[in-house]
Amino acid sequence: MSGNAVAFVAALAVAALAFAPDAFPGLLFYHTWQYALALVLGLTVTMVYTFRERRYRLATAGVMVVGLAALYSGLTGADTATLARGAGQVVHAGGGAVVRFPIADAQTVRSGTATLDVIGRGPLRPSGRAYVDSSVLVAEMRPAAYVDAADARGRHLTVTQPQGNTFLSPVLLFPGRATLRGKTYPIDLFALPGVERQVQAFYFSPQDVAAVQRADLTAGQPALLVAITDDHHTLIRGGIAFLPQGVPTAVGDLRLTASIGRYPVLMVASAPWPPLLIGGALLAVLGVFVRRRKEAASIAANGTA
Amino acid sequence: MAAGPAALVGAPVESFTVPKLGGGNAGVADYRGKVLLVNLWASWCPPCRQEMPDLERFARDAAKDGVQVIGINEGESEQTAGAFAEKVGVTFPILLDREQQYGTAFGALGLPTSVFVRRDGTVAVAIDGPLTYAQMEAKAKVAGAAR
Repeated sequence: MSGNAVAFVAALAVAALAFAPDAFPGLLFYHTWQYALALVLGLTVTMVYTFRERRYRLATAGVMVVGLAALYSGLTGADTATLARGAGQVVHAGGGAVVRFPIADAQTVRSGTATLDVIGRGPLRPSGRAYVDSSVLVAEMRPAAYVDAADARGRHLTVTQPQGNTFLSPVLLFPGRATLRGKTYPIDLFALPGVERQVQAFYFSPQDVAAVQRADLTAGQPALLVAITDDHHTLIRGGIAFLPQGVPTAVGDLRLTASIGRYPVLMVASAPWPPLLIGGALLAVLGVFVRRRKEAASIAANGTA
Repeated sequence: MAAGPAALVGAPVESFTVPKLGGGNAGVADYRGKVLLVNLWASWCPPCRQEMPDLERFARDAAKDGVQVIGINEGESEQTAGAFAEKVGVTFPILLDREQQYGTAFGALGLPTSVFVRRDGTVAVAIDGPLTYAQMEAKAKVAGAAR
């Protein structure tokens, strides 16, 4: 393989390694010494070729920008973390960014449109990304449900989450897992202190709903399976039922409505700043183009490059 | 991570327009320009029930010093909140936060939760748990009350 080809392969490897954190954010590999070493080796091979051959220096400068941006983000970017917080809570994410979790109503949860707010920078839409310094913030949508509760006389009840991130939030985030008949489901707990009731809620995805084949559940929609106990942890009479999407349902001595949808969690990971990557890549392509034109002109004029 | 109501201190108080006991709608922002004591409560909460008579007395006494007390009922129906307020003889405005937006936004760890707001709308003090009359007076002073 010629030196030219070796340098080209090395430059491509650097580019692939540098763009990977943007294409597949969150892999632990980006923080390992192996990732840093691979980048350094790729850059070194590319540079050695350039100095030796005195060709493609502009293109190599572009590859250097791309590779160093990736190296910097791998060394200094935020460690990969997924932050699940309750509505209204604020977290300090990578690169000094402060992110507020949205206060969501029933409709927002159901439609999955709750939006994280990167304070001072603006909203981070569902599945959207924001780059801060050498880190990327990604809003990943996870199952959630907004619960509305009333007593037998229709009087509205306060929903609390004594074990949740936010005490006074009716938005369930299902942080736990529990097994029912050999299958694992997301689970959350809430309390109705006004009537001394505690409720376990299992999240059934549309696929899970299809599997149970119940006439009272709507195909293609998620549902909750709830189990209601009193303050002595005794199951109340008629206290187990499915809550179909958005339908007020009598369960024991309560009337529960679940608006089931999605709510964001925040994934933080290291990633090079895209303008640096794109700028470096354009510089590299421009460098190759300029060099090729120069060589072509030289061949036309002198018969040699 | 910021946690609990104390994390609100220094920030502008959040406001949501919700139904008001007795009719109409209102939000905390409608009372801006006064020192505010915003109290989150529910009738099922024993410390809230215990605190409410002192809160009512403070609301009457401190009104002349430009302090406005606002009660925010968390998640209960109008009839439940109204019956309790009538029993205690509450005269200050009660907002019915059925969707618990204030509780969520204030990062309430439990009930009652009290938030003292300066005239410029920023949070001066935020407390988890019941307050005595003397504590209400002292915290209102921190928020800029006249006396």
